[in-house]
Amino acid sequence: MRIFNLILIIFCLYTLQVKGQGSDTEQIHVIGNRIGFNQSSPKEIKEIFKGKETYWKNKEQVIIVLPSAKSEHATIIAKDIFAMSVAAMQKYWLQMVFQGRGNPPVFLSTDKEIIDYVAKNPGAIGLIYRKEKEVPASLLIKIKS
Amino acid sequence: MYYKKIGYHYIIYFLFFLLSQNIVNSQTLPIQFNGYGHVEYIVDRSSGKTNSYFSLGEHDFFVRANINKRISFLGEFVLRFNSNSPTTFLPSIERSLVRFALDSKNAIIGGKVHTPVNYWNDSYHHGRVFFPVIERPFAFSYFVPLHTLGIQAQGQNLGPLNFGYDLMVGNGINSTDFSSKTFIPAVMASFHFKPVEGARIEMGYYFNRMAENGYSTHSGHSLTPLLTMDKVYKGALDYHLLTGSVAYFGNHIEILNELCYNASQTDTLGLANNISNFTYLGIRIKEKHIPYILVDYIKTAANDLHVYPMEMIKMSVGYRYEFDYLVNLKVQFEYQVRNTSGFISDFKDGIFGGRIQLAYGF
Repeated sequence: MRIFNLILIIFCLYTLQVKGQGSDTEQIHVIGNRIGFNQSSPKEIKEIFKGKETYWKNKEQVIIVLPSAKSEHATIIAKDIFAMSVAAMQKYWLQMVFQGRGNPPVFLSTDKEIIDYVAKNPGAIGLIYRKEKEVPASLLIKIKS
Repeated sequence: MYYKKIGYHYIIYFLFFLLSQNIVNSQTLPIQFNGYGHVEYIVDRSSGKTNSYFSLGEHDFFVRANINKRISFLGEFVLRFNSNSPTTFLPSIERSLVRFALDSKNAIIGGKVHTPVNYWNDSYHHGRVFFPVIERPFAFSYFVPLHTLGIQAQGQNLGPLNFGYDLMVGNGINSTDFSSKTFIPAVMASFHFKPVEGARIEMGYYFNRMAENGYSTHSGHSLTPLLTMDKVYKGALDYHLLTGSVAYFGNHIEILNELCYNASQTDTLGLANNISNFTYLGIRIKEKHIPYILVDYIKTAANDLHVYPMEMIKMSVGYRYEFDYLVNLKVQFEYQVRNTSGFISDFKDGIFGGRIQLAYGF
């Protein structure tokens, strides 16, 4: 049992040295509708999409909109924001909902669908690929460097 | 009994109605419906006898719905094997709760929940596809009250370390989902924080003053192997449970340690001190491959009148392959030693075996 406690301590020390992976938002637009702010830091954006907030300060319910596995940009977005694969990102959210600790996100197949959904739903915040041209300026959330 | 049969039938009919009417809308998600299940193949050898067989695991239907902007419902209904049933399967309501969000981080929950006393019971419910290993630790068969029906205050993601709390009062271990024979409810409190991404450290405490020692269907409690209910102590018992959890699930390494200290006090034999510890270490290779080891240990005292004396240890080497986030295959080789000793039961054996589990969700 002492040996296993030692192994556990070593693994804990190793894992706590793992540096937090900074999110690279250069390839991504964040869009939001009536979420109470129009700029945010990469760290805050990542926390939002991991479910840290369920209501905005303006009392609107947080509705997270993500690309589904069918989306051609899902891999980039999952890697840049969640530091995970698409499957891991889906599993993360499925577990959160299954535990009763999060509102289920909306998964959509294309950037256009995400833009349309966010535009129609107050409180929605979504991720799209930066090269998507037709993004209403009123929805764009600026990422502070 | 007739009334209960009618109630379960309505649950099944309601779930099929939801599916047939396509009420689940993949874009707006007013109601989310998921299903989970598992099948296993088991080979074990004990006392010179070898058994091998397939086993159909419990099947789990999960429903979650936003009733309005503040209130949501979550339900989990399970079908599992039961030899007392004419069809050998019986349904049950494992979770049924209504959550009222006070604000972004705090909520009040009423209903039947997985007692949020430690990381495992809060995170893993009845869908085996989420389990890192094939089955629950020993503590969940003997110490931890799996479910509690009551009212809960919950907070999460508070402050820079993502502090969280769960405070609950509810029906105790020897009660049902319908009534209880005691005036005093069970109480519990747990606190956790998340120091880094993927990690959670938690401590919990549960207390139940039982006017009459016993075990309800959903308490998760069992007796020492080979002990029978007719020999069990039926007097008053104070039940304390202290838990500590350390969990880290990262992109490369997975660690989970669940420590439980249980003290049960009776006027007959005094204070009995019991302990269990579960340790899991996994390494994720190329995303889908996770070899792992686990050690699970439990020991109950010679004067314990709730679980009764025993000592068990299980050591396993396993491998998990994740086809997808909804399907995985686990293979486990394990050696388990069981030893019960005391004034009622005296039994010792070792079991060597292997298990394969296909767990799935949809």
